[in-house]
Amino acid sequence: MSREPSTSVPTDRPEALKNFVEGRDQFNAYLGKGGSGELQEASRLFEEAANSDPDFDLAWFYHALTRVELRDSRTAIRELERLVDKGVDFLPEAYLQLAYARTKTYIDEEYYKAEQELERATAEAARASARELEPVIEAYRVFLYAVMGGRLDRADVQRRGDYLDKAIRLGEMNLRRKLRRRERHSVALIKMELHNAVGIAYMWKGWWVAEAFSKQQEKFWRLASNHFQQALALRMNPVRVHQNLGTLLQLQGRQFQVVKGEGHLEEAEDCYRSAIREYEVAITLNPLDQFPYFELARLYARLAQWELAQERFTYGRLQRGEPKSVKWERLERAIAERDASILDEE
Amino acid sequence: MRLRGLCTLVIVAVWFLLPTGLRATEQADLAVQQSQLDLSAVFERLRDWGKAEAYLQEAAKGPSVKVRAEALKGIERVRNISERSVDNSSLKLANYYATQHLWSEAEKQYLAAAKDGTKEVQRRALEGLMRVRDKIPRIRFAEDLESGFDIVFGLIARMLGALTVLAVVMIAFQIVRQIQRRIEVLPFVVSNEANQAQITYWLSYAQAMVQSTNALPIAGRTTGPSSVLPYLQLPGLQEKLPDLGELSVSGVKLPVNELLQRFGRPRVRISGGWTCDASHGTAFAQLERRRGLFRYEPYASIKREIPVHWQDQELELFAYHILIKAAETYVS
Repeated sequence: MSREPSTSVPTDRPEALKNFVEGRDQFNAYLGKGGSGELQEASRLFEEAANSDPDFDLAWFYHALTRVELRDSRTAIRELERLVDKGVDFLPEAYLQLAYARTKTYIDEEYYKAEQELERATAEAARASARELEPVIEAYRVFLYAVMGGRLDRADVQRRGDYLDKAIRLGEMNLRRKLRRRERHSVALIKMELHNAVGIAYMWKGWWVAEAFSKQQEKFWRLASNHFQQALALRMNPVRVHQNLGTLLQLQGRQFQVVKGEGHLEEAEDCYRSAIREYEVAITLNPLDQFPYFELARLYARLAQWELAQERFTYGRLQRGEPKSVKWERLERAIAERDASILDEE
Repeated sequence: MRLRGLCTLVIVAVWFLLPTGLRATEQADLAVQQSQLDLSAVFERLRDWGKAEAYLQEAAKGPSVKVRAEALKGIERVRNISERSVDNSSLKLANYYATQHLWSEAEKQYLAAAKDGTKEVQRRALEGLMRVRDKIPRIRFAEDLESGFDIVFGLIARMLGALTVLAVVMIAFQIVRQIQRRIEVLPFVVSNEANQAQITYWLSYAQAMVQSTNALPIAGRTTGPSSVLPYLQLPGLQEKLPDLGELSVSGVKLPVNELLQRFGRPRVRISGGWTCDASHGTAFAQLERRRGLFRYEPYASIKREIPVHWQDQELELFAYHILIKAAETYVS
């Protein structure tokens, strides 16, 4: 006998339901094609649905998801915390998204909170027998460890290495694990997240742990590139993967510039130009994200293309994003003084 | 001597003293006896041993001693011939069956010949019997196998029949369950067909939107409950039921389709209407919930103003409102 379908409509306001389902339609289109227009429209529709019915928890939840994707993690965290406190009936998902939103703030304290939220998501998923959430939680955990390993401000090399090792071990284990039968695109999305996260971990391991230009570093970066390529193959227009590829190329260029110096500036510039291509793709797909503008402005500054650097800087400042204000100020000063060495100041 | 002469004299005297009619009867009996003997000869020629023997037996009872003796000999002869003939025919028949590999029939005929035949026939019948019985075990095994197959196939056929009946019953039960879990939208009371089509369109649109987007996905996840509402059967878009015809069980015919229609009643029934004039209109809907198998009771009603200038937007919202109330009614 087939299972009786669920019949709970989460709102009793027709206007709210209408906006919500249209928002879901747009959000699904964004998940499928990666278009930022659909993402923005989805966010607006979810917000309208939530405003029509303030008790429409699911609309708030989806609104928070779109805010994270639009680099507005602060709003998302606020809304998700309220849902979690309210004890909504989709707690595992709410905790999971809260963890993701905290990770995407790229702030040290939030990483540790994100780790706790993931533990809560696991516990709530077990309580709700939502086993299908397990691989998603694991994918987000891998991502969190990869980010912590790469970005923890006050971490020593040893700690970074530990987080990166954990991310790689857990990620590769999950990539090998056979996922249970589910919708094909859902499997693809989870695998894409895992490849992306493992790629990030290898990328930072090559930068932080391995010796510059060593065989080990070459291996780590080759693996990182492979994982990013596989992630690209699994989903149409994955903005974050393009950004990560840009970051990898930028790190390779920096290494030529910093470690090898004068005689290798051409190799460095080649890497920068490849990185620029990836960031430009990311901006084409999502012109609302501040991060690629910031990175492009820095790259153009390193290539002494000051007009382009200024243009990217100006657009970037208009968007939301995670780069900290101190970095923006440093970039602004470098462009104003036409001195790229300011970018490397501590 | 004197006494003998006296006796002869007496006899002669009696003879001459007997009436003439009595002597004529004796003459006729002799003729009949002779004719019976003749008839037996005819039937003997015709190899009708039974009739020949019967006439001989009659002839043997007649007055003529000579004819009687001849008849008795004839009886013995005819019976011998007839017995020999019977024995030979069984044997011949048995041999014929044996050449045709009809071993069981051959065995029966050999047994008959061996039981009643002459010594020579019995000997040949016994030889034939031994020959035939060499063959018979294999044949019997084949026959047993054949009858075994018949039994097994019979059982399989009956089981298949029973399974077919069971499958039809299960399908019918499942269809009834599916229908009982539905929400049926009855045709709305409207002033023209175009309005009916508009109502149906917006209900269909709202349902499709809800069904296709209700999953509970998070970034990277699109699993979750597959639908927020059970199937909504819209007017004019009814699903055609399979024709299950009649089901015959032990000679009793069950009209399956009629039973489906009788018991397959949706859980929620929606009726309503839409009245409109040149500038303004009102749409309303009544939702009923099935209680038990057949009885419906009103649960909720909806009313919405439909201004002509905002007709599509308001009809869309009216459709969403119906869905919300339908879901509420469904779980009530």
